[in-house]
Amino acid sequence: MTTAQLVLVQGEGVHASGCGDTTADGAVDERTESGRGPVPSDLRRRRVLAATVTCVAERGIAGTTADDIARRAGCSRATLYRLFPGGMDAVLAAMAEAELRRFQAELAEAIDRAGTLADALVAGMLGAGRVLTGHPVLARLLADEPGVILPLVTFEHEERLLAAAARWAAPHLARWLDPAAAARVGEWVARIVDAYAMDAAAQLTDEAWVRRLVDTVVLPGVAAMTSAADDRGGPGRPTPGPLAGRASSPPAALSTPPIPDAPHRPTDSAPTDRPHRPTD
Amino acid sequence: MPGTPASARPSTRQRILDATYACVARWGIAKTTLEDAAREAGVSRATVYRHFPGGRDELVDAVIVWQFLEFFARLYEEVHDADSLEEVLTRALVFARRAMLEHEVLQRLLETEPELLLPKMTIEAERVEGMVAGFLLPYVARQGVAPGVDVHEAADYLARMTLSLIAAPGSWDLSDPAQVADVVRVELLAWLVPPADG
Repeated sequence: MTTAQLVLVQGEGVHASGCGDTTADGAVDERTESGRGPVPSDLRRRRVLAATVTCVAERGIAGTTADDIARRAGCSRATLYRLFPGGMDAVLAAMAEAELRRFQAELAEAIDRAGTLADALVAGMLGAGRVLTGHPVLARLLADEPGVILPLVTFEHEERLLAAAARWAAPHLARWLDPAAAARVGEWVARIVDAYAMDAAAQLTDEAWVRRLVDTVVLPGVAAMTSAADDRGGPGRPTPGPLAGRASSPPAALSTPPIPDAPHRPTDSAPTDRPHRPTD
Repeated sequence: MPGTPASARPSTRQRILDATYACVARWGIAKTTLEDAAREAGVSRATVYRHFPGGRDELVDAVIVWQFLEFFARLYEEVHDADSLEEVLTRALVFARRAMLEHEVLQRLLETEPELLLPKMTIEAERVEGMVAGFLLPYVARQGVAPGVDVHEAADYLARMTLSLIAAPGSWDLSDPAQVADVVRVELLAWLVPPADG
């Protein structure tokens, strides 16, 4: 259990190439393998990752072997290990990362299409709600292997998810909010999603409900935030840097393609990551 | 009287829970056996089974539930005489966060055996959420809400967000009164409480 759990977070250092193209349905283009020379390893990797999604969705992490994935991807076990030298651990980590990137890309598109802050927040929450309720791997793990998935999304990891969500969302909300307020609103909305996700995720897919929440709860808060910032002559929050203090990755992350580091932290790296923990 | 509901025999049951908790604190969840708990409590295996027919797993679950309720009982003590919704939430965030960080056993188990602890805690948290919302409801009703806002929904929102902040404050430092006041004012109450200057 613990191995499997580390596996999913150990995305650091494993970078899925060809991100964004992995399909959740595990569809594999059979034709490419025939004829024209060697299949690019990019494509092979994507096939393996798609197959991983399908296998884990069907059987969970504990029930999935490298052989299952290789068979489903139409490659040999040796090929799988050549593409992912870390074996199952690396495959699962790369799958998690690829799925996360795909989710972010979809979310970014929906948010960037929005005309108003309210529309952007609604789009973000609905997108998150749909993934939470509809992603086959997530659904399988929550149902059958909560011991694997929950440690990745609660307490310390929840902190990192929230921080990552805030960092990620800030540039997408920059059209309407200054950077500090954007990060704060990003974290807030992520927290709302998180707070309803476990037992009320269906509400997060109900557009009317989400819009009402944004209109009645979030927007008044945003107004209060801004008025306080005016009063105190500073943005967002009176006390020092919302996220700057705990983010271990460079602030440049705001302008580069937003890849949250959150779910990829191995538990062991936690100490360097938690400046506030009373280690003294 | 074998088969008597556990609640009717609080002392033995409680002694077993205390003993199991001591074992879990010492050895962790996975390594605590029913025999350990029985020895520590000074009772026989049969006695433990009488109170916890499901054996070791039921025993460990019961300890988690008990500790969870204990925690929220302390939280209730801390906030129950507050005058306003704002005061309840402020006190709750400060107290609960500190209590959680100071809970050595909890912190160690979160480090070492999260996969055993969290599924159970998540289930309990959902139950507690309802309790917290119920506790907040009269405060929300007294506070008043905007037209079209349902007080139950408001209390539900506040319960969920407060529990989320306690478990994972994110960028908030809940030991800093200014930050607590800020998150209560904006993220929790802005939609219910008119701004001070407005």
